[in-house]
Amino acid sequence: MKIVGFRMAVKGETVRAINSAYAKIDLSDARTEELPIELEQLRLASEMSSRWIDFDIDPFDHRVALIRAGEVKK
Amino acid sequence: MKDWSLVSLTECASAIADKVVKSRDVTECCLDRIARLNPLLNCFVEVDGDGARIMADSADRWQGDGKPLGKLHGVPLAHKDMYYRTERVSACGSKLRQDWRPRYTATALKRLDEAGSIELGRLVMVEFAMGPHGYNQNYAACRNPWNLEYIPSGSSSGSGVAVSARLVHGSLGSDTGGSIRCPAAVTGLVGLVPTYGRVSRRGAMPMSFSLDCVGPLTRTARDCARLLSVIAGHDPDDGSSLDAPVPDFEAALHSDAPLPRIGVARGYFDEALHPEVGKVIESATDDLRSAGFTVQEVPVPIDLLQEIAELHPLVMKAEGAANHLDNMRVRQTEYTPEVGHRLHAGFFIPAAHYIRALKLRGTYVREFITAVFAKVDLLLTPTLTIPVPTIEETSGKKGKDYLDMVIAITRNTKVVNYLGFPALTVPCGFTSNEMPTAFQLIGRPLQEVNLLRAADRYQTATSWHLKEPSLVAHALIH
Repeated sequence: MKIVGFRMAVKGETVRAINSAYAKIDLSDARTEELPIELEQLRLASEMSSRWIDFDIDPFDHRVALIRAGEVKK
Repeated sequence: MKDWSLVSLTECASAIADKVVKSRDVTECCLDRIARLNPLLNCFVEVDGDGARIMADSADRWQGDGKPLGKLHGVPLAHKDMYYRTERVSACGSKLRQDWRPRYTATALKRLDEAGSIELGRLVMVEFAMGPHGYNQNYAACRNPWNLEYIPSGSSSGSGVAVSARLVHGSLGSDTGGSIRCPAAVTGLVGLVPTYGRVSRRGAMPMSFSLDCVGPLTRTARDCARLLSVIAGHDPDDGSSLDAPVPDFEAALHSDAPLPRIGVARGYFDEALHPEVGKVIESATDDLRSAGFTVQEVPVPIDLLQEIAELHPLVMKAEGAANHLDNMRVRQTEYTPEVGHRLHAGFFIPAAHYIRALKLRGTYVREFITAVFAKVDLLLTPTLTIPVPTIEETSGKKGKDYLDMVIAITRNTKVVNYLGFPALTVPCGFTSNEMPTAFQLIGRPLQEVNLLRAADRYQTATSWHLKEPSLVAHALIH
């Protein structure tokens, strides 16, 4: 996956703001500036899927798919 | 006196059942070997020799009384230090839980107990099962018995090392992205990740609940079938457990049914393939053909797999962060810096992105099955695409270099966890560094029988699984 460095949507200041409001973990300044690279990869991972995810799809659909696929045809 | 630690799990069980040897004698063989080799290999966190001797004597008395024997009666095993046993420490590779004692016993351990196995102690693992190289700064370095300078891989590092060095006859590991298959592959073992939900996760430390699987590491496919037969099956105490029939996996090895058709993956799985590994895999496919299998090349859906490879860490990190949030807020200093860093990203993933990654899984399962399993029953890939790396090559990495190292090891295994399919790694040769390499068989959901049949037949025709680490023999002599 290509990361376009200077156009990254997630930045150190994003991490700092979310951490202050939600996560509240101890993060050094260096780590705060390093994290956006990984977070941008994860953000793009979610955005890159070419599939339309309809709101009717249930997360438990995975379980259904496994069971159906595992049924042996007789 | 025969060294009973050297025979396979099923041979050991048969010898005990046939009264050729007592469980106590086999247990002493293993404990003696542990005493001599663990100072070199550091794969045990704790050896419970006294407890094992009591259990072995009890097993021998039980047999002497003519009572029915379980499938693992008297057989010595040891497991990754993340399987809970009531009031026994389960450190999960961490300082944070170094004195933590669970109040219940893992379902998988209960089933192994009921089958009569003897537990010799707790095995080293990567801290909280987060790391594919196999190191854990909280313990002395766990070493690969084939060469101490090469990684044991992880996170079930102690399991791979202990079984490979013939210290125990089999072990439970856990697999969220390759943590059974990678250690098995680099130590010359068979390692199985069953279908998601096939084996209960109750009482196994959670790393990422929707990806975690419990499975065995063994010397042979037959051993693996025996252990799976014991631990598989529905557990009402595990919400993700599948209520599906459990076949007799070992009996199925003798089935007259047509052999599963094997497809050699073309695309994604072979994109980063090192030529030496490729050569070994090619030779293994020739051996499979000679053993009677139909083998053909199968193009895999590359875009789909690349998307899955990117989504896997998103799911894993989000779920892992949720497990560790409270401890990370107040006890972060008790985590090793590496694992603390691995957890960080998970705290900043939007919930909508995480749930979106979950919602896609069923769609991906159906698309993958249509694309791959229309013409074949099993997909063959390299387990690792690279020769086993050295400790030096994988340590001290940070930032992107660290992520690249993780990807290099887990590229071919993690996509299987996201799909939830069963997969088996099988040793199939050596690269020029004289380290083992392996192929991975991926099957349709709930079709572990096909994986085990193919691996068993392959091992009947070849001898890679019989090779022992020469370093261990050398250490025992000197």
